[in-house]
Amino acid sequence: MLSVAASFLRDVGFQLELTLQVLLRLGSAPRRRTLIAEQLFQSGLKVVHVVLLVGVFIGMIVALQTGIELSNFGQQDQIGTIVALSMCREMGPFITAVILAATVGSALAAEIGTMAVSEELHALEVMSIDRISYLVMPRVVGVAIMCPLLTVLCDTIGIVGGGLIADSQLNVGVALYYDSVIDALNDRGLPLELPKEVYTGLFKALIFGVILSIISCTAGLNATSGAMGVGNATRKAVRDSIIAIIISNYFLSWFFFNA
Amino acid sequence: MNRDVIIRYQGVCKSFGAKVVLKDLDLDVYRGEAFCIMGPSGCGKSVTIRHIIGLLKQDRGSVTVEGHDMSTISRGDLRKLRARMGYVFQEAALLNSLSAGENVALPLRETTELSDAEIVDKVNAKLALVKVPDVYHKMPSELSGGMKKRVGLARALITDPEIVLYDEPTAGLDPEISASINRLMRELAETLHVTSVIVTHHVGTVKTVADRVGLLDNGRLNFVSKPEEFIHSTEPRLVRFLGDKLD
Ligand SMILES: Nc1ncnc2c1ncn2[C@@H]1O[C@H](COP(=O)(O)OP(=O)(O)O)[C@@H](O)[C@H]1O
Ligand SMILES: [Mg+2]
Repeated sequence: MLSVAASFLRDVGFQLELTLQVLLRLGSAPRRRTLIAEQLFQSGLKVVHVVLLVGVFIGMIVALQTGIELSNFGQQDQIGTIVALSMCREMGPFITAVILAATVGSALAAEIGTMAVSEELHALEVMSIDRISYLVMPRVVGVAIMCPLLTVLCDTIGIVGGGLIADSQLNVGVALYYDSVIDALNDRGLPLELPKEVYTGLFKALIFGVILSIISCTAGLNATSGAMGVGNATRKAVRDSIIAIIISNYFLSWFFFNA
Repeated sequence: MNRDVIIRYQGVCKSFGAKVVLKDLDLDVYRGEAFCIMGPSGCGKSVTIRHIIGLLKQDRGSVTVEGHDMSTISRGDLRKLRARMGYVFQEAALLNSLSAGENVALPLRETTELSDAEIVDKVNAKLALVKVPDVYHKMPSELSGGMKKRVGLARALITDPEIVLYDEPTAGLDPEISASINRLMRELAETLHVTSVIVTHHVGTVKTVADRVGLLDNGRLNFVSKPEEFIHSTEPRLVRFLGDKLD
């Protein structure tokens, strides 16, 4: 128990330091644009289809679950509002981050872990190439940019999914659904006339992207040699990322909507 | 020969957990010499040379390179020192995400302001030097073990280092290629006065390249001598070790 706590604290310390180191190296991002672009491709285009597939079903689930309750009170016209706001505020960023943790995060940990056990990290070290600037920063920046972008996609496709259910199962016409979505996503006080829910959701996605990429890179950098090393690193990356995303999600939601 | 000491181990001890690898190791390597380390597998040869470039730190004793104590050296000095060194990894340690040529180019791209064309020229010259001229655009996964090794050698040499550490540079290469790598190491020592520390299992390398050679055994370097004396020694331990390697 004590050793679990000690290794947890050691990991968190390492992760905080790594985050700081990455921030200090953001200045070299323009020079690393090729590596960042590659990372955007890896973490973005390769998982678009997963985000689309999961997003549409999440929207359908939200519509179905809340729609049944609402129709008991004759309020099913509200379904568009509920789907739009819960996708943007909560479901979109959360689901996107979990998908990224499971796909891109595990790949990052496996890739960097393999480099650790095959001495590629030592090779960088003897060439005096900074591994944080060369390996970690481009990956964190790539995932941190991609997570909000994919969240927009997830939000949108989720709302479409909700519309399918509204139309087919709840007898709310597409036009009515569309109107209530537009109404919910309209706030004249903010940029693009989008409501606070959209912006806080995107901010959350950005934070989740940083968290999952830092945790995954940490797991890879600390991979131990031996047949199990990379496997353990990958498993730890996904597990810790998802836990950290859920816990930080609570605190971010609390911060934005209860304060 | 110039007796200027460039690398000095004094009473170096290194353990991993309960496993003692180096025990009171002493060694002086002189500027411009080629020193070979032989020894059975797992005796700590790689561990020994890793101390020179700061990949490992001793538990006790000291390792000094060009007057810098490697356990207290500042980051800046370590960077400068490493810029003058090359390290040939036992398993090549090429970055799998880059082509062979870009692996060799990496130190130049990261630490110099050379133009792309200049870098490509230099890389091709080094690849030709290690006898793998046509691999620039091949990925490491497409290369055989021996080719990777030679690309790793080219990468270590690309910055024209003054000190080169070779970890089994000819292991797994066919005899003809081995001989050409041996000649290359000798040439670097003779024409460019490169200081070399070479871990090897090949008596051929010792014969062609070494100025001195020692046997790493029980955590220390024993029987340090000239290659001729080493190979023809009648010490029972050496005779036993060299037994099947001499033919
Ligand atoms: N980073 C490490 N952690 C634990 N043990 C190590 C490490 N590096 C080397 N060893 C151990 O030290 C011993 C010597 O290793 P090495 O120097 O690689 O042998 P060799 O003479 O074959 O090059 C081996 O038993 C190896 O298991
Ligand atoms: Mg070795």
